[in-house]
Amino acid sequence: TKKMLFRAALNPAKRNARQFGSLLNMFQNSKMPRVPLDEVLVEAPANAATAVVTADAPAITTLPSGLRVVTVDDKNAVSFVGVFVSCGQRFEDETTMGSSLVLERLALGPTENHTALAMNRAVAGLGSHVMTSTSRELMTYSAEVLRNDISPMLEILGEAVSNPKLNTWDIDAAKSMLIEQCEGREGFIDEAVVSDYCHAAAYVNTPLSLPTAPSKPVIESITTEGVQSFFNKHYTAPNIVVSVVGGNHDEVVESVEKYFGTIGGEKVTPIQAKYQAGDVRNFGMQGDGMAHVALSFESVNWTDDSLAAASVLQMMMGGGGSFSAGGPGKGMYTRLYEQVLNQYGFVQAATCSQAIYSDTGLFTLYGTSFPQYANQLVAILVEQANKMAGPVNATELARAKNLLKSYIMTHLESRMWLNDDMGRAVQAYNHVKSCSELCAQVDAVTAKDVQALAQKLLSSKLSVAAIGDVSGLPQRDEVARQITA
Amino acid sequence: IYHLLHLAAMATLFKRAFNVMKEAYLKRLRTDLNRYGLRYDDLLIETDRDVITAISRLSPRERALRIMRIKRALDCELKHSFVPEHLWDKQGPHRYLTPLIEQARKERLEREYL
Repeated sequence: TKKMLFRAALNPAKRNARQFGSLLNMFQNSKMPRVPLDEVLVEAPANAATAVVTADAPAITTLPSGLRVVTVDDKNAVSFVGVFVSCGQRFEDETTMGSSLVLERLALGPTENHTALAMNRAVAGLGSHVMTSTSRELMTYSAEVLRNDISPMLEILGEAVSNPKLNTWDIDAAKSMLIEQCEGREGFIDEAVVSDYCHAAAYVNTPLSLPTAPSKPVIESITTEGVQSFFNKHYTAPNIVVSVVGGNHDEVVESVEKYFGTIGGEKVTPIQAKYQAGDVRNFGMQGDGMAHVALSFESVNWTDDSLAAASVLQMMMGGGGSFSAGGPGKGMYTRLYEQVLNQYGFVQAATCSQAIYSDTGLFTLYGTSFPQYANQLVAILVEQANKMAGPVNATELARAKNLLKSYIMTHLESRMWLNDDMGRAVQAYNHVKSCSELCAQVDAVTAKDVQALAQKLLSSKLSVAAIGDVSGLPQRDEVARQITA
Repeated sequence: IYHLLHLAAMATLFKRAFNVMKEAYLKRLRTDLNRYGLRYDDLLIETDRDVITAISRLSPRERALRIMRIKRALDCELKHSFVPEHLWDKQGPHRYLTPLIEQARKERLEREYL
């Protein structure tokens, strides 16, 4: 080191020449190719960006046990696997209330042949995670995997769905977790809570009125026998649909036969839903100091002809929160925005939502405002409901249809939503409608269809749900009298 | 002496001796347990992790019954008395906790192995 420095110091010319020389030589001796910037480098393949790969139609197979398998192959390296069980809060009764949430929690719990740890590690080993969701009529288990891993993932889901071990201690652990969640939700009002209240109001004392977020006493009353009997009754082969996006149909059917083959049983038809217009209010709830009011009407079911018209109507009414930043696709020109949120400053949110089930539906107009304006809010919502049955502007209709079509197309581009759509369609109709079919249905909706549907909605009796600071609101009958249809 | 030194004959002899001793021991064990009104698995070491997990997995009623049996046995020993004969067959299976312990042990080893 000392010698090197000494030598470098004594030979400055040599050092400078080295540096200088490299600068001079940089362009002459450079081995890099000279690329002119104004000539075409490589011929781009023609129409590369606009090549459209047409997907095959989804293939549906029904196994002898009644289990249905639907796959569509999009020739991609990543696939999506989903298992849909026709089971949910709607199928519960006094002894089994709360079981669907417990079953959702124990999705990757111990089974007859594997421990919980083994199940979770297997899923993590495939590089994915299992997403579960529970709704009133459907429970789903889904995961995104590489194409080669479809069979192992089907094995895991098959184990989870065909023979889980429902141990008392695991169920107790699930219960304490649910109670923690319940306590965290106290005083928090959002659309899901309001939807629970709407269902409780609309389907009083029938299974559809059971909340998706149960209260503490309900959770504490869950028993192992209840959960076990619920599982035995509803996790049967005709109730289950296995849906795969991005897999070969024959291979998938083979795997499903192997791993889901032990499931037997019969189809369970839900108790017929009875829409009974009711009124549910929660006065004492502290919440956020606002008044939340929801007016609901009975709507279409999955197999109804005017399903497209109902969706267009919902898109036309639209709505959202008053603090929305807007933007394309947010529905800024929908009726609830233009005529309610833009006109009245005290309205914090106004939304139109719909819940559709196999034999009924619920169409809701929901608004939030400060407590002193709650009565005005009810009047505004009633006015909007009456206007639904009135004439429909051509621009409004076109806007709603375009918005709906854009949502359909955007969602069906994603693997997860496509899988979800296929599973639900097979559960509801035994048949999957393609994107173009759905868009054609939307296009076929006319102003008259929307008007007729709205009049049908308004002719069903009104249900009212009110949460928060709502002491001065009129009774349901008074509000119903204002609905002129 | 040659037929005594024969290996198979010696084996059966030892086996028969062992069985006789085993039966005598079990008979004595069962009468002792019955006199104190206990099941065999009540006496397992309570500070072992697997046993603790297994006991926590019993139903609340089974846990209470176990503690009651142990208390009754301590009481009997203190008073130098025995549990009456008509209750001897009514205590329940002796090895009710062992399957739970096995399962808990398997799960713990699986977790530790990782």
